[in-house]
Amino acid sequence: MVDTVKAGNSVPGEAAEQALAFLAEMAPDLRGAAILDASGAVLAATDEPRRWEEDVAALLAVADRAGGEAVEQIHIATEQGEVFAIRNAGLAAVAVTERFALASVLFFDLRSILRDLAGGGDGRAGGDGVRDVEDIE
Amino acid sequence: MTPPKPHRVLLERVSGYADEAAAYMRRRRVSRRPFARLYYPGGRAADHAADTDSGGELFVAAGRLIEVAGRERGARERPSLSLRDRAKREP
Repeated sequence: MVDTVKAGNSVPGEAAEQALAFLAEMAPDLRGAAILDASGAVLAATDEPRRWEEDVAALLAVADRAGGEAVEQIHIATEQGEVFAIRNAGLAAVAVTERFALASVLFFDLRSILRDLAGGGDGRAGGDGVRDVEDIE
Repeated sequence: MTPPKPHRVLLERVSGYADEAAAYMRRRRVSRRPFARLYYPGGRAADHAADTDSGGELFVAAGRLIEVAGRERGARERPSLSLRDRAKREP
């Protein structure tokens, strides 16, 4: 993991599940997503956590190997859909969306969720779903 | 000849911008090709073409995730487990 903050070990699965539900509300293009802790274990997934754990681990391993260093964000766009992955605050989040999802917005949402979870929140990052425009990179 | 009403000018201008945006999105959908992009701390980014070893591996790994998520399509139409659980917890 890029960020070695150990928050990932203390995030309850319930909070991660709430964060995923919140992400699904915010991202209409979302097909599925998962949140993982620092060890790569799934804290919450939309379905089949074991499959997500294996496939996310494979993706992160391939990505780290590709550049010779640990990646922070991954964006892969294919004809079948798009994959977004991010590591932040000792956690990792992966989302699969329809094609042409807005990458900057999705990365912002994923990062906000991970930061909030790492800080002891439920991933709602502000609670009202209103994004702080100034924070969007 | 009377000049056009101001609100009509405004509407035409907004419609023009909307048409431009729609055309841009159409071009983007047609011309956009698959890509794999990795971002590193510090802001560096690297593209990996599908015909390279690393790019091929990335697309295969991404394809597996899309497959897992793809089977869940339609699942969002029904309340997710998390939402149901939350509804039970909330009064």
